[in-house]
Amino acid sequence: MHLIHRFILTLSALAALMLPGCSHEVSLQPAATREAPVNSIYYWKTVFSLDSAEYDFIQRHDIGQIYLRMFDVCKVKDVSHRWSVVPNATMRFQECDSAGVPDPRLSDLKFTPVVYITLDALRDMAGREDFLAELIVERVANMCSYNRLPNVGALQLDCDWTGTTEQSYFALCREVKKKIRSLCLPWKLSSTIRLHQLSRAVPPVDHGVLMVYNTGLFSDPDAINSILSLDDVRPYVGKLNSYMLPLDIAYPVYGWQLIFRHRQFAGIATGIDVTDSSVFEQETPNTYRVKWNASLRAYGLRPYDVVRNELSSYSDVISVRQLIEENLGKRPHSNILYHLDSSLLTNFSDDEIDSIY
Amino acid sequence: MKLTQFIKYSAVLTIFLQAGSHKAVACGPYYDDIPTPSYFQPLCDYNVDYDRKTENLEQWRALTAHDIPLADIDSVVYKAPLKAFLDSVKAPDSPGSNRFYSYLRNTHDSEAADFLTLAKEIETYRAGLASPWYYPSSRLYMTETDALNGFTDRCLAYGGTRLRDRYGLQAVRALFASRQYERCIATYDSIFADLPADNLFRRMSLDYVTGCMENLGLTKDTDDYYDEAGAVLCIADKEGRLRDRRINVNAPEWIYYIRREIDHIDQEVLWDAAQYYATNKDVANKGDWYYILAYLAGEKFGKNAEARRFVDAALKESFTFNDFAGQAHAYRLKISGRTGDMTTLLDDLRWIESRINSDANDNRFWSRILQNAVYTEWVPTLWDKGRYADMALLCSYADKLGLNYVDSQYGTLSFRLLESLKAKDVAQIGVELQKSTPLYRHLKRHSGLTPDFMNELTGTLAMREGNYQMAVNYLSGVSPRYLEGMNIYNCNYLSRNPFFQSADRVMYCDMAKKPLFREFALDSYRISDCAPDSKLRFARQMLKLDRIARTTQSPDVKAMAQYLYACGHYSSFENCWALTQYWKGEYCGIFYPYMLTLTSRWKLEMPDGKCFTRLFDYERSKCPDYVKSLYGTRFYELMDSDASDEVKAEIEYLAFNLADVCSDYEDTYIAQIIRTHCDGLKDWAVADSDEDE
Repeated sequence: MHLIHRFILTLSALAALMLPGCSHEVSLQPAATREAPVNSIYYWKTVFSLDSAEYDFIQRHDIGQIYLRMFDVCKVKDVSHRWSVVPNATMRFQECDSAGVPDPRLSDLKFTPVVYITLDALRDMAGREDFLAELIVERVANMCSYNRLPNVGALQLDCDWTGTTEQSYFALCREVKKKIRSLCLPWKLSSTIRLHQLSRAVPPVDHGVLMVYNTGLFSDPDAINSILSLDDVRPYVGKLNSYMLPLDIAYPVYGWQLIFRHRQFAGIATGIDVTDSSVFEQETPNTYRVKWNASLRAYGLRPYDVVRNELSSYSDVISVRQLIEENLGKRPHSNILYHLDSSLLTNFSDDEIDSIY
Repeated sequence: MKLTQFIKYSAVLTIFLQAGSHKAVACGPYYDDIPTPSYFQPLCDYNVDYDRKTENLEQWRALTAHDIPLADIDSVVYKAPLKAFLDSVKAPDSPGSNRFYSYLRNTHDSEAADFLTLAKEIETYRAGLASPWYYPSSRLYMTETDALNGFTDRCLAYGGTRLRDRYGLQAVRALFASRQYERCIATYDSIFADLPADNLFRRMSLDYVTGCMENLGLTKDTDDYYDEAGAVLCIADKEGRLRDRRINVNAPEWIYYIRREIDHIDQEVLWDAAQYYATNKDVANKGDWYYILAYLAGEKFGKNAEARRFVDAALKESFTFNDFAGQAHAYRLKISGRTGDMTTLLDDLRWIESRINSDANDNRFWSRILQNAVYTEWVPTLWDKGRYADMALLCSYADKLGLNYVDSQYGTLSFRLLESLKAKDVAQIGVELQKSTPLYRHLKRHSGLTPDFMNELTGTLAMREGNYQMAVNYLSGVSPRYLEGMNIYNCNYLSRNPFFQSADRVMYCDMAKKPLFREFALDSYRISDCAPDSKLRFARQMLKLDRIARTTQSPDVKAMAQYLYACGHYSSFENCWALTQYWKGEYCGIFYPYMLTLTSRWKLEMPDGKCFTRLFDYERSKCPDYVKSLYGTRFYELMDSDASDEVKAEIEYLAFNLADVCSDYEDTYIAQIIRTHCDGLKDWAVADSDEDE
């Protein structure tokens, strides 16, 4: 009898441990367990609307996951001139019909909503990370629900945290994880990792995405290519293999034009025709100066402004990828492209894209 | 040498001093400009829209307890978050607690507490929906709709009457927030159909109903709904509605709007509308519209008599706003002054005095009203009608009760007005002030026009006119105590001898021992001891000198008497100016009633009326030319008289004309004294002697 009682008690204890705490089935994977690598891509526009070329791209390159920017978290002044932390540039979804049913072509894709947090906002919410976490998670959950985003398995936080904001960001990560659990969401938590953060503490998340782009300082008038430079990446890759967080790697496939005025960064542009010799004079392979006698204020430019064309060339990307792969060793990882825009992706052939993946 | 010192001393220019009944100051006193009060615009910041919140707070007070400060109700109803409210209502009462909470705790007014709880729950939920972080979780808004429907059901379940309109508003709000627009409109219709159009919560609910209609695309009649809601500023053609007489005339927002925009609304349109509504049986507060007519008539169309009739009619009716009623009453005081109609003056003054004395009101505002009405309207009107006594007494009353009053009657406008009159007029005023009518008795309670003041002023003005007999008559009626309180005596403004520019000069030449001086000059010599009755003694001395000059047979006595009289007269405007004036100097800062309008368009409202242009100009006052001229004429006349050379020499000597003494009267005793005692040769030597040197 005594043994039966002990057996029953043990069974009861085991059963209690096994009972779920939430109404949903939760699958909590240990951090060390990784899913199989999947081709992924970031979507970073404010309107989620895929054209046929983009759908085609997704299909051709067997892309299985989209990292979708949902909104930024910024510190702004409200109408009564008080500072407050609010969501900004919220994604508008147009991949649904009038009844809100998403395009069936999305049904097999996984989505990871991404929230970008500015440092100002992070500093302003220091000490109230739990409140911010609640706001972020609930909003993202509502957005996913309202727009019927399929196959959401994780939430990603994107923040260029530094030494002084590290504690606050890590606290936010912990609170976000707590909130995800309390809402019984089947989400993991991931974070973007920038190259310089490889030498810092590992954030308390399940998984990271190493952003191997914007490696230089875009506002540096003397930089040759701030999007991607092997020389900029090399100093950091030694820490890759020992980094205590599963990492996926994001590579750039975009380009832009940077405007400099009196050697000061003046803005980002696209679509400037720098081959127009009546307006521009080429100074270096990728910089063009507006002529003093340029007769039009095209693109808002002034005489002597400098336009720096920056592109993610295939050779640069593949060189960096090789370096990264060498230093990652046998760590399983996915490769991610930044970002999905049919106008930019025409700069790469299908083979090139596939070789990056 | 003594003589030299005397000459040097005497050659010092007279120093002009500020005098008067204030303590002597170098400049000033500085009076504030009197801001012109508004007789029409709302007394709060007139850039603010009509405040329904205040109306709501006042209704809460009427529903609960009349002695609860509005600020306490505001803290609970508007400012307290839900949790803080719930905690505070349950907390034990303590001294110094918010009195609305105390009321809720002590009276157990659960009906009010339950309503406020539900209202705050709804407000908290709606605030969440309005938050930038809000994002719906489903296209059917099921979660939100369910929650808001729950609130709506609780509102509609209220079976009482006391708070029915308030619950109705909350239900409308909840339904609007849940986008159930048709149900929102239907709920409004069912709850508010039998409530009057000016019900505050009906008006507030209409804002949401209008929103529902716009969301449903039913935009054709939204102006009618805005009008009924009192959302005057949302109406596209406000003047059109006024012109067509299609306004919700009992919505307080219309009156507030008209008060604020009176200068921008087409006055003809407003005039016609006001005439219609003032006599319309559906209008609850006809006082508003009669007063609009009065204000337009008086301030825009120049129809003062009509304005007076309209404001009388207004004051028999009710007003939407208490302060508007007050302004109408104040305007009657002003417009009556413009017409000179004194029939309600006493009542109006009693009323305004009660407002000044009341702690609950802004007494500075009512003081300004009084001063504005009296100074800009009553004073010019009464002056033009020659009713000086009424004018002076009323002005003195306003001086005393108004702002800027100083502790002396001699800094006031009433004093300046009186001083601008002739002595006989002021004397007549003094007589009329003895009347004992109800109006005069009331005005005299706060007037500075005491018999002493009037007598002293009359006597001084008489002296200014050279009427010394009249001066003696009135100055002798001033009590010693009053004189002792006057600064011109306390501050040595009458320390100089008006007859002798240097009293020592008389002693030096032993003139005092001469029979001539023993007869009368010694009296003249003794004027300069600054006694309180100096003015009276001076006037008497002048009378005496005049009598001697007219009656004596001796040419010498006559000449000396004439000289001393001329000298005394001149001195009373010059170095002894305090005998005939109260202020003198470059800048006295004498009070002048500059009226500044307190609107965004600051302009100076100068008091109208020529009485103000006749005010004695102290800033440019100096010895009048006629006085100088008269002195000169008299001097030369007596020097041409039959008086002896000795006396003429003495007169020249007293007048500092040493060179003339030595040149024209070289054989006289005085000339000899000068030649043998005066160190400064140039002071007395004739021109030829100067050239020889």
